[in-house]
Amino acid sequence: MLFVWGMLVGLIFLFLVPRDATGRLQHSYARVFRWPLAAGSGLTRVARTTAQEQTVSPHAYKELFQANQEFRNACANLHKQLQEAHSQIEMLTKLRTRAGLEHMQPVPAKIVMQGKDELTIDRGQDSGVAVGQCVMSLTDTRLDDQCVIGTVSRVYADGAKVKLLTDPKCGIPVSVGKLNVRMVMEGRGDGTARIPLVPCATTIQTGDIVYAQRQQGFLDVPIITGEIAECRRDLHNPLVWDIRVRPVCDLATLSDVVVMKPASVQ
Amino acid sequence: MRWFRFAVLILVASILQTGPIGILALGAPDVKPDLLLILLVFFAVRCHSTDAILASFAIGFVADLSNSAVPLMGPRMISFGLFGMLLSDLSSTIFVRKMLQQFLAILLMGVLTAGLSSLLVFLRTQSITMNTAVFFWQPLYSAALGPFLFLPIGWWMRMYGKGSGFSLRRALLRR
Repeated sequence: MLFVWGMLVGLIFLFLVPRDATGRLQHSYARVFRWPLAAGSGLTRVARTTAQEQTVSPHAYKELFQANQEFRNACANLHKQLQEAHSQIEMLTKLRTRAGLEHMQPVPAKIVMQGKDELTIDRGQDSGVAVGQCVMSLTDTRLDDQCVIGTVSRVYADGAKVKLLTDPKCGIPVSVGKLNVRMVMEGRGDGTARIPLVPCATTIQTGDIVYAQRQQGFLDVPIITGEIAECRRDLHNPLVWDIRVRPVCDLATLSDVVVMKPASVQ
Repeated sequence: MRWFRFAVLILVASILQTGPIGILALGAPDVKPDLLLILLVFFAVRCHSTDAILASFAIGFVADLSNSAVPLMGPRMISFGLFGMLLSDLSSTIFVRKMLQQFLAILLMGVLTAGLSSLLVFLRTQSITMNTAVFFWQPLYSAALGPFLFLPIGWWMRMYGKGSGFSLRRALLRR
């Protein structure tokens, strides 16, 4: 009879009592006897460590130490890369939630080389970068101040060239302030740009914001690109304005950019 | 049967089993003597039937309680209870006194209880870990060490053989 009762209790524990309840019971045992259990585990660990130390030769110890150092370096590098990746993800997430950019896919890129009015970035065809796509600045501070700095002019497999808006060969459709007039901005080659052939009847003044216009397939919403630095009558043609535009972003100190790729492009 | 001494003995054995006995491990951490198995065989061969059954189930319960690797209660309780009862009945006919007999008894009990425990765990969780250390090496190690522990255990429990009429002096002389 005692045997039957014992088997019954065992079967109840095994099949009927929930596993978290039995887990709690085991934890209670470990909690009640934690001091002797901890002392025993510590003793075992010390004994095994001591035994292992006696079997490691000086040469093996040196090799292990070096390997440990290499692992620590690799770990530190990976940690830093992870931090940078997190920071980039955070910035890109904020960028994408801006109104109008939901259907754009930002492709972050690092500036590899900076020339006069031109940048070379480390993203190319492999990342879906194509000629004509708008390139914006990417800085840590004031994400809302990211601006268009140029367009992609040449694409390679793993890199691309970006023509800045200050390049004389770069022409970006823009609008000024609240004016509903479509204009084309060209670079001057001296770190600024100009908007030619704007009649003097148009009300434009220094300080007005210049926006890169919406372009189907390249930019879904107007984005700031510069501001009017100077606006006076053209000496050669008094009927039009001589407008000098200054980029709002300090191109000389830029290290990261983002290429705005339409989300449908792979 | 001195139940208070029995309770202290199995508690101490379970604490030692969870901790310091790892010092005696050979090679893999699992290849260490199973003190609770040794106690199971001791009480199965030395106690009367009723006491042996009760002791077997109690040792099995404590074995489940202290085995945090498997978050289940019941497998070892059932296997220890079943095989403890069988060994107790068998030892009425075949006296397990000599060291070789004790060695074989511990080895056999270790293999059988490990097998039944694993089967019960599989039935409950649908997963099983085949570990030769648990099924063979650990019972072998326990069988090698067990007969030497029978004497101090017998001294603590004041049990030197099945029933009355055995004395420590006679047990020592027999060895």
